[in-house]
Formats: sequence, structure tokens, C-alpha cells
Amino acid sequence: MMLNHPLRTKTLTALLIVILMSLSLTAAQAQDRLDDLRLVNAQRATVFLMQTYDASGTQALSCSGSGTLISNDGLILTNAHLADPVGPCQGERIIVALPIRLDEPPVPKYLAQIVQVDHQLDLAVMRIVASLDGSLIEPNSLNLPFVSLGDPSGLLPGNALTTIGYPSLGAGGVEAVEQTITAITAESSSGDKSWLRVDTPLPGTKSGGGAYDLNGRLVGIPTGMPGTDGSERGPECISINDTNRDSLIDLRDSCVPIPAEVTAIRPVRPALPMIEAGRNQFELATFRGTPPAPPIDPPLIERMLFSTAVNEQGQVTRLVSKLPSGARNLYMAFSYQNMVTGIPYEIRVSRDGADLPQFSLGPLSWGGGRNGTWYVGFEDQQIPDGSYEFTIYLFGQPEASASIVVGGREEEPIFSDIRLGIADPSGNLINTGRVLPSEVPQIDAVYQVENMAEGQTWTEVWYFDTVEVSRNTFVWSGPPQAQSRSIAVNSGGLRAGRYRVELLIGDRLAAFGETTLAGPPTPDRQSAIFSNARIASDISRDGEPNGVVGQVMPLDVQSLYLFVDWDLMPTNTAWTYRWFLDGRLVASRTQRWNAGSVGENFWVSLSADDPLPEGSYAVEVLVENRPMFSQSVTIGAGTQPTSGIEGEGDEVFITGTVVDALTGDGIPGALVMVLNVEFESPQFTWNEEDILTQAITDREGRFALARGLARANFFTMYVFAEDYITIIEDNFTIFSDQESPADILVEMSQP
Amino acid sequence: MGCRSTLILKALQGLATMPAMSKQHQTCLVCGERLEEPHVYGDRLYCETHLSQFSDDLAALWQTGLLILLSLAVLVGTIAIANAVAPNPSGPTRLLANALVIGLPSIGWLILITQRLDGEDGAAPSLVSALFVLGSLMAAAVVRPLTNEILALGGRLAATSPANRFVANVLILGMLHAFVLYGIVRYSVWRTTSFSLRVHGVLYASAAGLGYAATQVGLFALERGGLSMLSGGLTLLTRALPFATASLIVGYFLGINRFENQPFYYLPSGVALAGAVCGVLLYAGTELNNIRLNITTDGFSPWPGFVVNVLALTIAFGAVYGLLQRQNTITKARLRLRG
Amino acid sequence: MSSTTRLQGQQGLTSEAPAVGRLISHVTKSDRFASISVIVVVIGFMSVGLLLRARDSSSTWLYSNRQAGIEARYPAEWLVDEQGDYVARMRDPVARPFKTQVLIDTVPAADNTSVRNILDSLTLQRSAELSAYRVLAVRDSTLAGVLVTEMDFAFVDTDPDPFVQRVPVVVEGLDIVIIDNTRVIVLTYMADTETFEDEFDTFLDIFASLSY
Repeated sequence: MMLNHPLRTKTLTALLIVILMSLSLTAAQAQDRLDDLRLVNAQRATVFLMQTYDASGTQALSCSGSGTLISNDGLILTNAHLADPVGPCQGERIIVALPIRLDEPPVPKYLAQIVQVDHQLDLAVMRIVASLDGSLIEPNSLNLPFVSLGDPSGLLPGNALTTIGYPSLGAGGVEAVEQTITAITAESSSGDKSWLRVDTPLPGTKSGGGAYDLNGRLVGIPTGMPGTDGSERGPECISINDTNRDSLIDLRDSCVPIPAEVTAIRPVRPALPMIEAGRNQFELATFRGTPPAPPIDPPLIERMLFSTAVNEQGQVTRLVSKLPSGARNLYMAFSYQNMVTGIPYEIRVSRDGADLPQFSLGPLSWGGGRNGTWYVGFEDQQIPDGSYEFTIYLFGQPEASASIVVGGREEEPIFSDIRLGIADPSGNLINTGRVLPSEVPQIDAVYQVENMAEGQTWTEVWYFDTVEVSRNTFVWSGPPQAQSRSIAVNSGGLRAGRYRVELLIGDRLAAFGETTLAGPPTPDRQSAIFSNARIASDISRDGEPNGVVGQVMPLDVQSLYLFVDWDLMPTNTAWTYRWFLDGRLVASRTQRWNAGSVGENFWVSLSADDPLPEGSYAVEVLVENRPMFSQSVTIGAGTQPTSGIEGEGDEVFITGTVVDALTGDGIPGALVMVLNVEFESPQFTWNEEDILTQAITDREGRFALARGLARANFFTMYVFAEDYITIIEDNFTIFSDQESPADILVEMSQP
Repeated sequence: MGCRSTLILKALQGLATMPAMSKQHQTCLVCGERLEEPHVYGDRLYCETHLSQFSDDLAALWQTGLLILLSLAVLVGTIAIANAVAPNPSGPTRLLANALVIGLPSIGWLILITQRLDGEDGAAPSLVSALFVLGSLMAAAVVRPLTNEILALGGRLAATSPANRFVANVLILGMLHAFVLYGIVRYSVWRTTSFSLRVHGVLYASAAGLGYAATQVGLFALERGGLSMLSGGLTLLTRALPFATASLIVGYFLGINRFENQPFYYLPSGVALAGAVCGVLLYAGTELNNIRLNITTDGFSPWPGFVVNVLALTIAFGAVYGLLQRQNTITKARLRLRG
Repeated sequence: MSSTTRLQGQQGLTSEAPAVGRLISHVTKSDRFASISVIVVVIGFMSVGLLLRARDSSSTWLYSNRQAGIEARYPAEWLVDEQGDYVARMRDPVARPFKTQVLIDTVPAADNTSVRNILDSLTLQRSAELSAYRVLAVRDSTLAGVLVTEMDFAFVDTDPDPFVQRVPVVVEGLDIVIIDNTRVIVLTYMADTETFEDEFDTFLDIFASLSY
């Protein structure tokens, strides 16, 4: 009766709507942040890393930062500059400290070694190898908390992240900060999603830690580098050790370089092959050629250019000297020489004299090699009008700068989208790219022309291995918008080497393109650098294939060697080899060619201390990112067990406490073990082969099983302790919706 | 105390030097008075007074026993409430709580029964107390050192299979406990003037059994620094009940055999039965508590063993009561028939 | 012993007061026989129980490894592990705080391989893997009637999981090295220092049962 009253009905309806809105708002808020269980797990998996060295007989700290455990057997993902003694970090030992209590400083527990490193990404995978006292550790005996890897490719500005790391030099507990992605920065290091930028700067010691999505999966690594080389004390280099043993910690002691702040997060996806290689304990090696001499001259930055586009090969393709209002893409490219891996570099951007942190980048650890071109830029971002100055800093000192004005309308002439290739008789490019066959009579550079005024002078310059070989100046007589072409010709065939064409409008560099001519041409005008590829299980003393050679290998091989002959491969050309296991990229490395122009039996290898896992392997070789050939081989029957990364989601990790049923006191030294899923107690042979996982309780009766238990299964669990009745449970059930990790209580009684 | 010790010593000496009953020395089984015309019942000689008395009942015994059985329910309720308030107290509080759980039924019964015995029923309250103490001393000084130190049964039982544990509980522990309870009564009060009723078997055996049980579980708790409120408290009761049950059975057989000549295997059968029951209940009291282990269940519950042992004690109490009543009724009927 | 002895049973009672617990001496032959029977029966039952217990606690299982040509008997319900870098490891799952264990391993030997070489190799390997590893003594001795070279050692066993607060345990060990033609058999016994002596007989039994 009362509800029939229209006013009351409306009031109730309104109330209901308010409640529903509140509930949905609460639910939405709940989804904006990592839930507590996942947060705690991620915090527990975050380690503090310290590089130390011997300073007059005492262990001094060289460098420190954060890292994240990505497997329970001790694999750690962190920054390369924290793991590898490069740049200002010159440590001899890497100490891993764990957050035993989350609110307390981490406790040093282990020594770690690098297993994979990629300086271009500034990422490294390390493995815990020993206790602090140096006694070696069997990885399978570890049972550490770890996080799963997520997919950062879908992250966009505005998405939430939680960053976790250590906010100070080991003085405080692990800290989680909720952040928002403000921008995405492109860079030569990893393409258009090289860096996720966050709103709140993080303390420098969080570099190497983790950034997590809402599912608690690791999607990125906060990355920052001290701006100095660690030789001088200052805000970014703190003296905390009495390294000169004068009983004082002062300016005369070596300091520990600490990044001022971190605002860049390296997405984790490009590191997946490296992690796979680390997980499988793969080691990569290649034929040793003649290594280049280390640079003597100081690093040199030159030819800073601006562009509004970058192609797939990482080349800037639309150079500009100014930008119209409303432009949303901007890249700054530069050439460099004599750079050294690990040195701190930084790009600072200001607009009309005011710093723009969101456009700046670094300081970061240099990973681009010795010579080359590099770019940094932004896509699809609002760029307000003004005069932008880009300054490149090395070791905290400005090295080069360039300015560009944003505003007004686009009117300047532009040569864009330059492509070098081989043309068919009708002039169409049939083969383009960074690698073309040598000995062809002609290569063409085709480009688009915009806003070109009649009578405008322009120049084309061709270089061969950095030496200018031709320069021609023309007066434009075509339409303002057109396709144009420059040609390098040698009727006797162009020599193998690096070719570069530069196009200038007036004195301004308007476009440039590069290609490498290598290998004799095939009938379809492809480059045939490599031939006679074969795979062997071993290598002889004189570098010949040895052991089993062919497409099928026995199960116990520990190495795979790819042998190949090569022809007309220019020295210093960037080349890459990639190993695949069952279609998954498991290892990749890019190097500069140093084995000479022609030769036989160049090799690359993939090996491990244990026999390589069964499966189908393939190795692919690329030159200047262009696939050249691939070769496959099968080990055993070719069936690969499920990858650890894929399998983790279906398992529940069990932790718990074993207590005396009558006193409630923990029982130390009790053995908790779970049989393989196919065994029940009557079938148990008391052979440890039948055991899936086991753990011994600590002084409080706590334990953590090293391996997870598959969901939707029954297991047999045994709990042994002296003077207590052994517990044998054949129906230890893991339901399909069971949360992981699960904490259980086991009560034991005495007879 | 000196007198009690003398009693025990004499009783034990008497075992070795006991002269055979002969027609030249016809005396009353109960009071030892020389009889000119003895009354014979069940091949035993009685004076007229004791012949008519030995089948009398002792209502106080059953009433206090029933009261204690019922008070267990109250005690368990109190434990449950205390557990809700302070589930896992530490140190002295734990021990105090354990002492109350142990002491309330055992010492409570002792006080009640000694208050109710008026002397006219032939039983001496002092002997009841003495047997309680004797049971306690035997547990502390003889049985626990033997089982825990010499035979080291605790660790060995834990390390073996449930079947072996069952066998060991019955054949070793049960028999040992039953024999000790039997021995305490048989070699002290059994041949004295204070054992003048059939039900005195149950009375004295219960006193010894409760003293024995209280000390066994008291030391069990003490060795562990005190047990938790609920699991610990219930387990103390669970572990004490088999001794009480065994003492009822032993008491029954001693009571019957005291006043009627029985075949030689009668008493051994009784002790073996008590031992078997004690062993089975000790086994059940621990093994039944080991329940299913899962993510949400912890593999232990104090209730199953407790419930089974309480039921066993109740059944034994009812059976002994019923059988004794029946025996006494038959005896009285036979005596009436004799005129 | 007099049948008329009066005993004081209660405070305040005198010898003239009604007797409490006065001993009546006469018992029938059947009573005496029953009394002895009870003792016999109880002793009988307990003996059976103790015999069963002794049989149970001394029961062993046979370990046989045809590839290594080794057989040995070890206590029942010990765990056997053949997955490590040894032929076999037998481990008492209930022992606390360290799981008492016996390892059987074989090492190839050349004509000039000495026992000392083997022991040095073990020492080098263990000192890299075990905390505070110390060799206590190396000596020739007779075990179970066999002349052997034995090495006593000790180390600290720690839990690899840093999150569990397991107190490091001092473990005492003993290696027995037996040269067998082209190989050396190493039998290792390890136990917590508290229980090392207690369980040593178990190790001797395994050693005595070893055939190769």
C-alpha cells in the first residue's frame, strides 16, 4: 500500500539508483588499483640489488637498485646497468637482499650472476647462484616468491600502473606507488613504445624494480641512471662507505651513484626472449672475429635533426626544421660516434626556456653501440606552440643541442619517405631495405617531394662507407608535390659496403637514406650473403662441425651450432641471430660483423649446462633487421613441455604452518611433501621420484612448497615430524577457483 | 600416611606369605572372625553379617559417578566458552586452565565420594583417598618413566603404522595400565575388611583410576608447558577417560571375584578385557581426532575421540552398574531362598 | 605375618577403633592362581606387543641398483632419492631438525687413484656448496668388521628459502671410502649432531648390508 504512493515510489527509485551508482563507483574504484593479495606478492618478489667491490679489504657499495623475481628458482629481471659492471657501476659482486618483512629494510641473502643482458633495452636477467657466504645454491631448491609477466602492449596514457621498488639505499621497506601513464616515448632502443612515462617521479633506487598492471603482472621496469660517472660526490653520488679506510666517510671516499629520479618505464615485452633464454639457462656464443679497438676519442654527438615520422627500420623519414601548430608527432634524431655502453645520457627538452620533464628523457644508460644514428620522439601527443630546445647530456654535461619552432603553418619544402632499392626496367623498386645485394649496377633512392618551389636549388650527395663519392646540385623544375629519384650507378657493379644518400634543400639536410650492399645477388636480385648452413651438436678444435650434424639431434645434446659460409659481408654491419624453440623466440642477439668479408664456417651456438630441452629449434639470421635465412633442427621427438610462463596460471602455491594440535606451537623440522598427481599413498614407492614438491618447516613451523599444485586435482600430502603421527591425506583437493597462494594450517598430534 | 604405607607393605608381604584357607581356620572372608558355623557362598566363607551385607549397593558411588559424567558436559561447555574468550592463553594461565580441567572431575569426585561415605557401608574414605594417591604415584613414579623413558613408546608409536599403533596400544599400553590399576586394588585393599561390598571393587578401582588418570594427563600437559584451551582441554579429558573406563571394568571383576570363588582365568580375563578396552580407547582418542587435511581443514579435531571415549565410559558405567545390580539381586534372592 | 594385625587407617583412630583396611590373610588356591595368571597374561600380552614393536622398528627394505651394481638394506619408510648427483640417498623423513640420511655414490678410479684423492675431491666440492664445511678427521678404521678409510666432517645446514626462519643446524657426517677395482664407492652418513650417535647403528646396519 505504502509503496503505491507515487512520491514514495520515486524516492525509493532514486535511493535505489544512488545505491547502485555508489556500488558501481566502488567497484570501479576497486578495479583501479591492484588488490592487496597481488600487491603483497609483487612486493615480496621485489629485491634490492647491491653491486659491491673490494675497497682496501672491505666490501664497499658500488651501485644499488631494485629488481624483481620472475621465477621461484631465482631469476631476477632488472636494469642492465645495475647488473653489468658498466658505466659508473663497477661492482665485483651482486648481492640480492630480500624483503623478509615488507615494512622493514631488505635483508641481504644471496649472490647473483648475470645470465642474459641487453644494453640497448637496459635490461638484464640474473640468477641467484650462491648464499652470501659463497656456498653454491641449487636453483631448484629455492622457493622464492615471484611475479608473472604481463603484456604492456595495450597500455595507453591514462592507464594506471603500480610501481614497486626500494625508495632508499636499503634503509626502508619495499614501497608501492600507484601511478598513471602520462605519455609514451619512442626511441631507437625499442621502437614506438620504448618508454612508458609516469606522472610521479620515483626515487632513483627504484630503478630496476617493477611496474604492474591491475592483474598484478609485471609489465615494465622503472629505469633511471645517475647522471654522473660516480667520480664526484654530489646529490647523485652519495658517500656511504669508508673506502679509503681513514675512519671517516667524507669527500675523499668513493661515492655511490644514485639516479635523481625515475620517470621512464621500460615495457617488459622486448625482454621476453632474454627471459626465456635465462629461464632455460641458454648461453649464446658466436665465432670470434676481430673485436674493434675501444674508442680513444671522446664521444661525439652531431647532426641533430627533427622529423615527423620514423619508418619500420627506425630511420627518420620526414625531416623538418619547423612544425605547424597542432602537430602531434615529433622525433629528434642525431648521429653519434665513440659512444661507450653504459655511459649516462640524457635528453632535456625546454619550451621557451622552461623545462618540459614529460618530453625529456633520462638520464639513462647508453646501449646504442659505438657509432650510428639514434632517435627519440613522441607520437600522437599534443605539442603546444613555442620554441623547443633539445639538449643532449653525457655524464651530466651538455654535448649538443638543437631547436625547433612549433607554430604557424607548414610551408617549407620537404623530401620524405626515402627508400633505397633496386629497380626493375620500368623503374619500380623490386627490392628495398637496409640490405641489398652487391655487384648490382645501380641502386635507386626514391622519395616524396612536398611544397617544393620551382627554381629551388637542391643537392644530392652519395657516400660510400662514410666517404663522399658524388655531389650534384640541381634546380627544381617539377611540380610542388611529386615523387623523385636519385641513382647511384656503377656499370661494373657496386661494391659491397655501406651506402648513404643525403638530400639537401639549400643548405638544409632534407632527407637521408642508408643501405648496405652485401653478398652476391640471386637471380631475383636478393642478397645471398650466407650459404651452406648446417647445424651440428659440437664444434671441433679447428672450428669445423663436429658431433651429430643434421636436422635431428638426440635428446642429450647440450649445444647446437649453426655453421654457415659467407660472402661479401661488409665489416661493422649490424646483424642479428635469433633462436626459436617451438616457435617461441627464446634468445636473440645483435652484433656488428667483424669476421671479415668472405669466409667459411662462421658459427653461432646455443648451449646449456644441462641437455637442451626437447623440441623444434630454429635459428634465424638477419642483417640490418632483414631476414637472410633460417635453419631448423629437432631435438628428440620434438615435443616441448609447457613453458613455465604458460603453466604458472593453473597452479596454486601452498604455504602454511605445521603446529602441535594441543599446544598450537609450530613444529620445526617437519617435512611436508606432496606426491605427483598420479600417485596415492598405496602406490607411493617411497622414491623421491614420486614426489611433486616438498618443504621443511622453519622454527615457527612455517613452510612453503616450492612447486604449485595444479588446479582441479586431488593430491596426496604427507606430513612427517618426529614424535608426531604422520599425516597421510589422499584427498588434498585443489579446486579450480582456488586462490593462489593458499595458506594452510596443519595440526599434528602425538600418539 | 605412615599407616597407609604400612597397609600397602603388609598387603604386599601378605601376598607372598598368605596361608591357605583350611577348615582348621575357618574365618569370615570380610572381617576375618573365626567362624564355628561358617556360611558359604560361592565357595567363600562369611559370617552372618557380612553374608547379608556384601551384596548391598552403594548408592553414593553411582550418584557421584553419574554426577561427574554429567558435569563433563558442563565442563566441556565451560571450555568452549573459555576458548571463545581466550583461545590460546600462555604460560601459567594455560597450566591453570589445564589443572582445572583435570582436577574438577577427578578431585571433585574424590571430595564428593569421601563426603558421602558414612562408614556404615564398610568403605573407608581414607582408603579411597589413599588409593587415589596411590594411583597417582604409580602413574608418576612407575608407569610414565616406564612407557616414556624405558620403552620410549611415544616416539616409536609415532613412527609406525596405524595398525601397529593399535596393536601396541592394546597389547602394551592397555595391558600395562589395566594391570597397574588392578594391582593397586588387588594388592592393597582387596583382602582387607574395608572391601566388604561387591561395589567396593568399583569404588576403590575408580579412586585409583581417577588418581592415575589425573596424573597421567597432568604430566602430559606439564611436559608440554600447558595445552591450548579447547583442543588441549578436550584432549586431556579424552586421554583420561580410558583409564576411568578400565578402572570400572577392573573394579567390577575384582568385586565379583572377591566374594565368589571364580575360575583362575576369571580375573586375567577381566584385566585383559580392561586392558583391551583401555588400549582401544587410547587409540581411538588420538587416531579419530586425525581428520581430513585440506586447504580449509587442518587435519585435527578434538571432538571425535572425546565423544567416543565419553560414550565408552558411559556404556561401561551403565554396564558395570547393571551387572553389579543384577549380581547383587541374584545373591540376595539366593540368600533369601536359603532362609 | 599375623592374620590379626590391626592397622590404622584413618587419622584419629586407635587400634581399638573399628579397623580400616585390616588385612584378611586367607585366599583360596584359585585366588592365588588367578593372581599369578593375571601377571602371566599381562606379561604375555606385553611381550607379544614388544616383540611386534621390535620387529616393526627393525624392518628394512632392499635398495637395488643394477646399473651401479649396488644393493643395500635400509630402514623401512625412509625416502629414496636417485635424482641427485649420487647413486642413491636414503633419508629419514621424520627426523628433526635435519633429515638423517645415508648417501651412496660411486666415483671412477684409475690405477693410481688413492683414497686421499677421493676425499680431497669431496672436500673441494662440499666446501663450495655447504656452509662452514669442515673436515674433522681422516682415519683408517674397522667398521662392521671391514677395514675402511673414513672421513668425519661437519657443516651447517641452512634452508634455501630466505623467508622461512629455520635455525641453521650443525650436521655431522661420516664418509666411508671403499675402492672397488675401477671405481670407488663412497658411503656417507649425515645426521644432526644431537642424533648422530643415536642413529649410527642404523648406518652400520646399512653399511653391513651393502653389497657391490
